[in-house]
Amino acid sequence: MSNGVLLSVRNLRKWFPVRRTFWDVLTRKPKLWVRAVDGISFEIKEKEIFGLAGESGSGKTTTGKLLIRLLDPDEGEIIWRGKVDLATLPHKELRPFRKKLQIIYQDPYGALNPRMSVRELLEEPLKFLEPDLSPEERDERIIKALELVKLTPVEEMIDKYPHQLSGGQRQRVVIARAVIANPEFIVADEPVSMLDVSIRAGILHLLLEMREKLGISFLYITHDLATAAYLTDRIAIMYLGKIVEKGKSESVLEDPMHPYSQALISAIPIPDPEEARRKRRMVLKGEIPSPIMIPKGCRFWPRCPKAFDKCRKEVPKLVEVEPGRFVACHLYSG
Amino acid sequence: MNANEVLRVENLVVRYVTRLGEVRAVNNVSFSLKRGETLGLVGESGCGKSTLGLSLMRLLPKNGYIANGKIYLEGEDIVNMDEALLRAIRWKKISMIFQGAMNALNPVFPVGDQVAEVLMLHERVTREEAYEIVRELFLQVGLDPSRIKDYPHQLSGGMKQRVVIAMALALNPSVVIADEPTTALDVTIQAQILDLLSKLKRRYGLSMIYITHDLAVIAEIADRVAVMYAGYLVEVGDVFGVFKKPVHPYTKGLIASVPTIKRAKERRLISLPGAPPNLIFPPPGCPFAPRCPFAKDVCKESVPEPTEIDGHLVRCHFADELKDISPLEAWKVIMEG
Repeated sequence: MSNGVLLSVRNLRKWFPVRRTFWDVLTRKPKLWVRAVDGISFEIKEKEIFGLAGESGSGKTTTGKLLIRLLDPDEGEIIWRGKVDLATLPHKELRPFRKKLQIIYQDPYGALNPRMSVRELLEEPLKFLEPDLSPEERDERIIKALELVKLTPVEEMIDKYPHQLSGGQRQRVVIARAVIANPEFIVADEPVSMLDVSIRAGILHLLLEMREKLGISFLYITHDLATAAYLTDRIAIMYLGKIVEKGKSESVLEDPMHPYSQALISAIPIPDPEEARRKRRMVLKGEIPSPIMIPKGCRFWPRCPKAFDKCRKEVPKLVEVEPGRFVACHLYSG
Repeated sequence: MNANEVLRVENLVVRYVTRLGEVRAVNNVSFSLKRGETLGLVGESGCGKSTLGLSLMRLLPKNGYIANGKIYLEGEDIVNMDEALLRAIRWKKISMIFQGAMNALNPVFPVGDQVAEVLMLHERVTREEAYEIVRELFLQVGLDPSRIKDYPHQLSGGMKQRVVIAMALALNPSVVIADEPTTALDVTIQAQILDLLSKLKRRYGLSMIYITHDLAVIAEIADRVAVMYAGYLVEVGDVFGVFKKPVHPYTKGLIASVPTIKRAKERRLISLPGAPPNLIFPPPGCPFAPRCPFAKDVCKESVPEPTEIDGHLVRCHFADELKDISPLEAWKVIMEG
């Protein structure tokens, strides 16, 4: 049985081929791969907001797309409620799941067709996902969705076009579109990073409300660990296609164990000048290597201040160091 | 003018001409910058902070103009200066790290050439001398001097940003304006760049205006803060004071909307209602009044003049009454609503 687990991801992998020129093929240059997601495992529980954090190129967005099958995984399982493996389900059988799985993208400016009114934008997914509704029922659902995301007064908002809305209001339309067909799981890919800081909390609170009122579970993808700390129940930190640490958000973010999580968290500026000046920052050398040329052994060792011999040779496994707390680092694997 | 002041701006007004009317991008802005000081200019998208930066360089786009005010750079007013004289002071006395400048490096020339060009255009140096200085500059910004022959595509984002910083520092300017220099970078790289900027500031007494939307970055790097809203500086003060006891309701709202890593869930975050005003048809009176929980009739009628409260300059009719109210207390109304 699923024991309250909505999605169980096991050893998920997605590599993208690097395009070779005709000359490369002729000279038998080896085929290269971008190892975007390189064998990751985690679970998302019912009504949970699970965070996936990392820097650009860590594979977090690819993971989000794999979970709802906007991309097909190369390997691994995505078990839905202990029953169906979404990873291998043929596209025809995925159809009923399209209604249950939704995604919210980062850019509320690009996500909405500028020539459609709010009403048309919300009608579209309903016509597709619930074709049996009568026009009256559709209208009712649209009004309900707009009230839910607090785009009020509804009668005023419903006939507006995207250019007449602020960034925050557009993101609310995007969220209304995602929830209108009653999904069970939403991938929220950086939903607030393009919004002004002073209105971000409104969108975060809305996601929390969707979880409370509609029982939706979320995968919250972000590079911003402070919003993740506010929103998520559990979190996984990714580096170059692998999870380096996962656990309860409070423990991972307040007391990180993996040297990469430690560096990442110490790099975040603190919005308090006194504390910021007291803090000693751990500054990492260099930048994330290309996901094509992944270092041997632990993929973090060339930048790790604590690397030792074993790190250059052996890939560390993700092991449970405390109940519910997993770290992939030789410092903790004994 | 105080000898310690490198830059002084008085009643600056900047407008853009558009088909729909004039955009009032910067309104009666006054502030000064001391030698060796970092002033953090913070505000949200469209508040006029980049426009303010560009006007200090006299690099406004064609449809923008300075309608009023003075900009004294080391005592000299540059508002009415002609282009030939301006060319002599740009980069030499005041330089800028542009937003996204790392993507503006010319892809067909080695990065070292692009920095050397700045030197050769402004100083009487030979090619060899220029390259010698570029190597020295690269060392200072933490780049391997052998990289001067590399092309932009061979460098990572963080390295390109270092090249751009080297370029801005090349002529040893009195004032550097940094417009969102880390916005496109990952946090670990942002930390490296912030580290570099504070090192350069300590070592060379750099005077800097750091423009950003990120309050946390301001807390880390600035000595003083200027908060901008709808083209007005609504609060200017020492960084510790502004964060500890913000006076203006907008500053209070901004501070209460920023999440922290530690004890993140114990504090409820604020989200300001509404959106900033249209700057072509701004509301009469205080620009923040439509979103302000404390707005009274007077706020809708007249723009408040800057008044000094606890060492901050604040543009608010009720600054004195509001100065002791904490950010969360001030915005409680919104949370309940």
